[in-house]
Amino acid sequence: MTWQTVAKKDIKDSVRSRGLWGIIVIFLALILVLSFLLSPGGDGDETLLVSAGLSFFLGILFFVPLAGLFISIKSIVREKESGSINLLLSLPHTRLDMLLGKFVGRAVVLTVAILAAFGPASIYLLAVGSGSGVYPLFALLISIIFFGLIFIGVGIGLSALVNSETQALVAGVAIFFLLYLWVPILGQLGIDAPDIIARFWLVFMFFDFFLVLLSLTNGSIDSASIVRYDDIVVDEGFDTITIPSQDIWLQHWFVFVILAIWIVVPLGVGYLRFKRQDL
Amino acid sequence: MSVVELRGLTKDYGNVRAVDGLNLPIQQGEIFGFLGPNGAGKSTTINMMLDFTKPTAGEAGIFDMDPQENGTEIRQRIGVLPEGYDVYGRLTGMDHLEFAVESKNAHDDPYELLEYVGLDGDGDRKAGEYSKGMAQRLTLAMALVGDPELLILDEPTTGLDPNGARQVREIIQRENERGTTIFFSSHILSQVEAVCTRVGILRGGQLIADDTIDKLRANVSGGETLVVEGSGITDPVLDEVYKHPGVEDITVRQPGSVVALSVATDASKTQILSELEQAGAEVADFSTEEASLDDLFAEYTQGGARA
Repeated sequence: MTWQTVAKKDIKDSVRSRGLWGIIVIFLALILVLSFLLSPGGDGDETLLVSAGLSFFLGILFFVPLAGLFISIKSIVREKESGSINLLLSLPHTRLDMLLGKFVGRAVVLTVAILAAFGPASIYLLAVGSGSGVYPLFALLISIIFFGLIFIGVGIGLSALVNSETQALVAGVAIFFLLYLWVPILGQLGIDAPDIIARFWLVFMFFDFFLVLLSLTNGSIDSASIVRYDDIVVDEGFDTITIPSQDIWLQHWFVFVILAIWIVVPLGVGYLRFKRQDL
Repeated sequence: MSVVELRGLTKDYGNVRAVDGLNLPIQQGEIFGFLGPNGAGKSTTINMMLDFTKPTAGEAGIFDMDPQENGTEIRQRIGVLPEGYDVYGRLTGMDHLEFAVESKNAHDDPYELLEYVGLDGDGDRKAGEYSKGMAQRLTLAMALVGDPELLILDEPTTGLDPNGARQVREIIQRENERGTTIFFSSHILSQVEAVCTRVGILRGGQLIADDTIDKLRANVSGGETLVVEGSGITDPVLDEVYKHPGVEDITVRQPGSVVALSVATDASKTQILSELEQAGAEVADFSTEEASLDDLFAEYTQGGARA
């Protein structure tokens, strides 16, 4: 097990990237400004959560995917192009060690980036709010971090798959739009994705993950996936909705399985090619 | 015991055969110079030994193991200075060495290694600021981590000034005295002749020579050139002299007056000279030149000789 050594080196290397800190600073500022504008007028959990949700919305939608892909998508192909991979693989590491080390390393870097970008705004919102919403806010941050892991997995997988940094860049932009738009595209084509397929959509996954964390302290939240709530959850609040019990793959905790699939499959596909490739 | 044992090692890229059925055993304690012009297949061979590239056929055995099966085990016991590598620009020299030490579970002191390769004082600088030569030294230091049994060095003196190249050769020799087997590739003969106990020459993916430098020299044109100055050294005269079995080749340096004769080692130069005079030339002076090693290398790699 030498992936830890690779991860450690990788973290050291990527936190010194100026581009990464540039993105963090921009989003940190953006999220702080939005939080200031949208900070809760009254007290109570939901207002705090709603204002956090609104202030964080752009950050979640753009910062997390962009930072995640930015951090990961060149990680392997750049080493192939520059030749530093020869240095790494001359040491007793397997290509799987390298891939896993990169994944873990970049995941840690993204987590730091997310905390750096959303942390100050979270503290501000807690300070101006009632303070009773600590747990939902914490759950929101955790959800954002795990949401980001998807992009690290996809990015590393793609990076192992492509042949050049240019290809990586093109693939990164394409995948960013595709990951968000495939469900609307299917909708436009008149194809109604079955619930289990729709659950793989990033938006549903994010809310499902958040729901699971919320349900830990709020037993009244039904265990069904957000795909069964349609759009009413935001309007009516969690407590008022009752959904009959669901099959296992439609319960909200099943999001963990879906998340694992989202991470393991891209990494696995990338690895299968990377393993056999001539450097 | 064979440290390296290449058996029928072959690599095709599309229709191009880069390495063609290479058979090569290297014994413990040898300093093997792997010579060949650029594009001869040296790096492809080394890349197969490191499992960077998969062979089309054959096997690149190291310590009686297959790199494709036991890659990490092999790389735990060897040190590598690979071809076409790059350092991690944002990491310092120390970071690189710590990474190598940790990767090999070794106990080397990075400071000692930096000093050993002549980088003392530069360890805290980012490797991105290093010159090519400094990066080469750093990579050599990484290769030495964990006291490897075999050092595989792909063009280790590239990018170094003559002084740096000499230091690298000294390090190679010192490591070899401690029992390390060395596999050293280069496209420049003079880089390997000073240290190598044995030399293999690769051309077009095939090993066309594999011997000690002395024996290789003996195999090329008998090794000596007889330069004759005088007058009346005309073509008919040279035609006559060429019939002498000891004369292998004739190069006219100045028509009529200066000629260079490649002669076999066992040939009598006196006899050849008198043959010249009998044919009608007047010999004023003569000298012998030993074929330079670069001539030898050129002859092996561009055509002609076969060992």
